[in-house]
Amino acid sequence: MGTYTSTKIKEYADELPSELKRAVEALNDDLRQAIFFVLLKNGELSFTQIMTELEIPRKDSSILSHHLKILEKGALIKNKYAKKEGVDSHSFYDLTDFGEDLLDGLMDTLAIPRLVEEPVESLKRVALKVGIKQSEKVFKEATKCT
Amino acid sequence: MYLTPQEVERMEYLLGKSRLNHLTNNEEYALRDLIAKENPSAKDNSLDELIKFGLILVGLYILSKALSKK
Repeated sequence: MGTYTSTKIKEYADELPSELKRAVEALNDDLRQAIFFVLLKNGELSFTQIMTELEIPRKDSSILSHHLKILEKGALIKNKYAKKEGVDSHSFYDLTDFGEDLLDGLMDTLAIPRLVEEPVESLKRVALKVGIKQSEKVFKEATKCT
Repeated sequence: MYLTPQEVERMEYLLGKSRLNHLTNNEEYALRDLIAKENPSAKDNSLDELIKFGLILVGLYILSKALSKK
């Protein structure tokens, strides 16, 4: 299949905001999708923790770095500094609010059939997401005040 | 829900802290007590399970409040 290019194609393609284009491109790969969901399921993780969770051999660490950078460019994940008990690394990766919102939006398009198939599990998943957002918000607001 | 609004708020704070920071032992006990008040059988679960259960409770609480407004 050839790739067409024309002014009209570019004009219409440019209708998609560049942030969304970068994000969609960033998710267009199995490993990057896996990284995204590892962070969604586990919350923030260090580089080594991501490697361990995805069973990526140490020799391929540069591959993981490369894919993390693409996800960062797509604004789906962020890299931040934090000190954690029992973890040597001070550099952690986590989903951005934009990444979570994008996923919510995509998942919402499937929400109705999912609810019909497995109502309890779907409700639990939705409740868990809402609970996480609410609890983190309450904690952040409380620590801002002190 | 058996918890008072103040207890729900405290549980939300502790759950948020457990995700973004670390709970002290006392905070962990307090969280266990709050969740056990809502569901006594959850008391002996691991901390991770307890936190997940607590987050689902908070989510259900928020969703039910949102639905009752509609």
